[in-house]
Amino acid sequence: MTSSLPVKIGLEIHCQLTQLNTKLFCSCYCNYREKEINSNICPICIGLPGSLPILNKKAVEFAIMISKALDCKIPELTVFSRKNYFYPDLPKNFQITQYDSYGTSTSIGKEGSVKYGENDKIARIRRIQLEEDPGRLVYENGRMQALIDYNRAGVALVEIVTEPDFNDPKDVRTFLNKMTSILEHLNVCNTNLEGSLRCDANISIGNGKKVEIKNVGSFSDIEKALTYEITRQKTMTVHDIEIKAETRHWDDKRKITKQARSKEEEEDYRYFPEPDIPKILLENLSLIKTPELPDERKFRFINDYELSEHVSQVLIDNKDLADLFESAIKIYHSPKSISNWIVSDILAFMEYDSSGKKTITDEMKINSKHIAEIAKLVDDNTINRSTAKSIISRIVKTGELPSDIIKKEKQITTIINDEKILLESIDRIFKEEKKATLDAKQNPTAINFLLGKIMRLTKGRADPKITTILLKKRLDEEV
Amino acid sequence: MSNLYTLNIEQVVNGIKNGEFTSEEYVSQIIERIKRVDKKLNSFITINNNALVQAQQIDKKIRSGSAVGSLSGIVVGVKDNISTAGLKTTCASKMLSEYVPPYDATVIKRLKDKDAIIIGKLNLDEFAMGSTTEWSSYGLTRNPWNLDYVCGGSSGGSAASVAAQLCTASLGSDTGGSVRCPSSFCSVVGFKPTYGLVSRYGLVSYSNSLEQIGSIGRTVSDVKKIMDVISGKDTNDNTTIDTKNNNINNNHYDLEQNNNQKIGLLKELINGADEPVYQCIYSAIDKFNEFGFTSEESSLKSSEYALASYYTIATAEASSNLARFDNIRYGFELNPDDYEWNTYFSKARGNFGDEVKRRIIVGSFVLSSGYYGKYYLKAQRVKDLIKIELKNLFKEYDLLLSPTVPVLPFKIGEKIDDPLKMYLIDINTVLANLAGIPAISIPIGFKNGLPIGLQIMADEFQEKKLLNIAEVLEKSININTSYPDL
Amino acid sequence: MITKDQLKHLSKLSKIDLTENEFETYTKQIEKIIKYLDKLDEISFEEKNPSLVLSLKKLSELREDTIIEPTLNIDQIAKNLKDKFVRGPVMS
Repeated sequence: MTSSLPVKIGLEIHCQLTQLNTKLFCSCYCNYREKEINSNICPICIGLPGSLPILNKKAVEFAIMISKALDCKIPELTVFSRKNYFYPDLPKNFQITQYDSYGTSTSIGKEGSVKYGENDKIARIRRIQLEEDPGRLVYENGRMQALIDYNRAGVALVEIVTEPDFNDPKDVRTFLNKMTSILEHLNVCNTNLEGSLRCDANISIGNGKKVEIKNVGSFSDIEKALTYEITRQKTMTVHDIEIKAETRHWDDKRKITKQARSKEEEEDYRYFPEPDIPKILLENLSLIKTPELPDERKFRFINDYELSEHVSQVLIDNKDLADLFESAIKIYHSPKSISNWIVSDILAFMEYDSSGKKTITDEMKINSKHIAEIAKLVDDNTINRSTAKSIISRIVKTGELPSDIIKKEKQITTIINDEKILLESIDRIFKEEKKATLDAKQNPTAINFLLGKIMRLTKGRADPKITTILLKKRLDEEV
Repeated sequence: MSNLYTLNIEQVVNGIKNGEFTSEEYVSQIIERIKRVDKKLNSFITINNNALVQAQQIDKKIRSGSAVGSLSGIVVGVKDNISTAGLKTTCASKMLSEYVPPYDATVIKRLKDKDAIIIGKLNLDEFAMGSTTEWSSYGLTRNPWNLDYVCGGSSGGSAASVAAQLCTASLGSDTGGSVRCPSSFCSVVGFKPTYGLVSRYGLVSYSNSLEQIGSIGRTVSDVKKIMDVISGKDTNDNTTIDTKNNNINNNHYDLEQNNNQKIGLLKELINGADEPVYQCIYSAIDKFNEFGFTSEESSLKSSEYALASYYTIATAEASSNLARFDNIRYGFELNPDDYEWNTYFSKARGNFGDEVKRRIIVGSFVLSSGYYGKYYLKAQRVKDLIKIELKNLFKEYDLLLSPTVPVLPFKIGEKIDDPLKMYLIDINTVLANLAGIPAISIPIGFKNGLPIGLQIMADEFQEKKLLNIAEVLEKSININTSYPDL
Repeated sequence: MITKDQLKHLSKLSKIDLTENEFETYTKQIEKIIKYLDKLDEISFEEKNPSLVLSLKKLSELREDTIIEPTLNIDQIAKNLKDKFVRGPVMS
């Protein structure tokens, strides 16, 4: 019965335009993270009486790029408005945004769509708007006394609102990964930075009341929170308990959603157009070029480099890897092998960042030169695959070039392809593994076990192809 | 030299340059006069203790032969809602009783660049909301012409101090008539520029889509000189407009060439005035006609709705602009430690005066869900309509005339209990704010010793025309030969 | 008609404490004011969406994304500080 209740999920994504130099309405630093408390402020962002907002041109251009990338309609004129509410992290006790509840749609983009997932599902974008971030509230020593830091106040945000087109939390996760990739490729947001990409969700089941889920830390948590919330709502419905339209917060410790405190009370925001910012005429938009988007890049990888769909997708999902790939193939043009090295080996060393995405950290000392060399060394048969793998793990820590490592550690790296030496190893293994040898004579697939032993004996240096040929020959010989 | 306080801008600047007296002498006399006279008026909230030192520096510059600015040595009083670095800016409110801005408003910077001296901060209705300066938390300012009467508002201190010769000129702010009304009541010249001509950076916002900083002086010529310095595009204010072709720098207006100037007399506004007021207006018009101007009756139909539109928009914007006063960052002493935040905010903001509280509440109302369309949106449409109607009138007329205020100055306390009666004082002046056009009030006479002012309006960016013609009209009336004996 | 309850709601929305006396006086005064503003009902317009903002600026005329080193000291503004944070009230 409950499984037939349709689930509708809509998303509200807040993307900090971290790649700007300055804030949205003043010339203080956009990058507030490392700064001493309350040192990144001016009369405008701290809301001193008499201060006036001065709009950042590049922020508007970034927002236009995002609108284009999400296939949105961009209006001729864009207008800002005030959202009026009180809160200690809000210097003016109103937020300058673009939402106008009266329906005059002048935000920077609307009615777009995004394809995501394996089956090219579509999520419609309702609107995109620019707005300012509030300051940060910190709580003093377990007491609820607020301590306020205004360094972040005024940083530019783009809010992306989707239609309630999702009905599966897994799809939400996939979509968010796609959004992350798009924003990274546009170079408007460094999604690795903490708090740079946040997402709230609205969920209703069976056309019931909408519940808003806020305060979710990462995208993997959103999937959990939505899954929990669906269960909660379905259970309530079964027991005929009314679902209230409310805001709930995700409690990561207890892994549940719970009713939010009074901040999110039904508020009358009294929106009206911001008198201090003129209408902005958006002209010559064709001059604002969007960098290559993930889908376009993936298409190029498949067509130009003949990479598989799967490998291309992995590279695109992690922009760092796609970039690594393209610079490596400039050095040594072997797209298939380089991409495989990256996807199978480098990926394993990457760490999860705060948004749940894998990223190349500063500690990883591997770059395109290393990868190009590894690929070439293996393709030339100078070293074999397992040696290459162990070198990679060393490079990630030390940053040494593969060619240097080989020079230093000749005995442990060079491939053994000398038949005489290999035959010696084979004979030794035959002595040590009599039973297996007998098996191998009957059963050809058992050769792999022997091959494995030989690889161990030669510390991975035996050339697998030649060794296999010799093994077969030897087994046939020994009657 | 004594009685230096009677001098106009040109006389002060030249007198100091030519060595007739020093800047220090001038400032000393002014300060002494303020000490003696202002206890009767209460036009100043704060005196700049640094003024004498600044005067000495100007004298030093002149002695050493360095160049000095075009306003060097004059003393300017500044309405206390315009930010002055290092000098308390209270907006006549308890909410800002201890606020010292860390920055100068653009207009202040520009005055200082020309070596004008800021003599002090002037009294106003709290946050510029009022028409009589009776809503100040520092007490009201009295009319220099009759101490039992109101001096007008909200820039009451700015007008009274100029009339009482306590400064060479002053700055005020005009949202619905706040420069022109007190100028009319105090028999001085008060000017509000085209919206976007003067930077509002540093002006504590009351109603940002309507207000402009204007200047008050004893003559049109003095007002022109101040406007010339403070006007012009500012990168710190996105609503300022480039006006390269409209600079106010006065070329002397040739009387011979004014034969084609046509003046429209706004009948609704003139007929709506008290009798002594419109009598005076008509005598003034007679004098203009003698000078060769043509005048005829004209009508502004939408003027009936102007006041309702004004108070809807102004209160709405005020309710939002004043939200930042929660006492967390600036304000007065009240430790937030033991208060829950809603309680703290509401308690701190209980310290606004009555009129401010009323306007914030009305403003919240007209923006609130369910009422936004009926009030705020409608008021904006009326604003557009008034602008269009005035533009059409200006196709026919060069200038439009009306009384500045429909009544004579009235006794202190007379209208304080009836907010709506008080609002009706602005009925003629709000038009220029709604349409964003320039407007000036010049003194044209007295009745029973109480001043009457004439309002002249021109189309947007026609400052040059307006001020030049106003100067001619001022000469033709020739009203102010003396100032109140205080 | 403005009721005392409406006034209570508005004072909460505006975060302004009013005394019982003020509630009494203001209700009457504000009612009179709103009634005057109702004058706006007498006039009607045809078009749907007005242009509500005054001036127009081109995208190209906006501020360049260049940093100006912040020089404002928090001590100049807020009095209640703790380790450079601005002290706020208690959050519920």
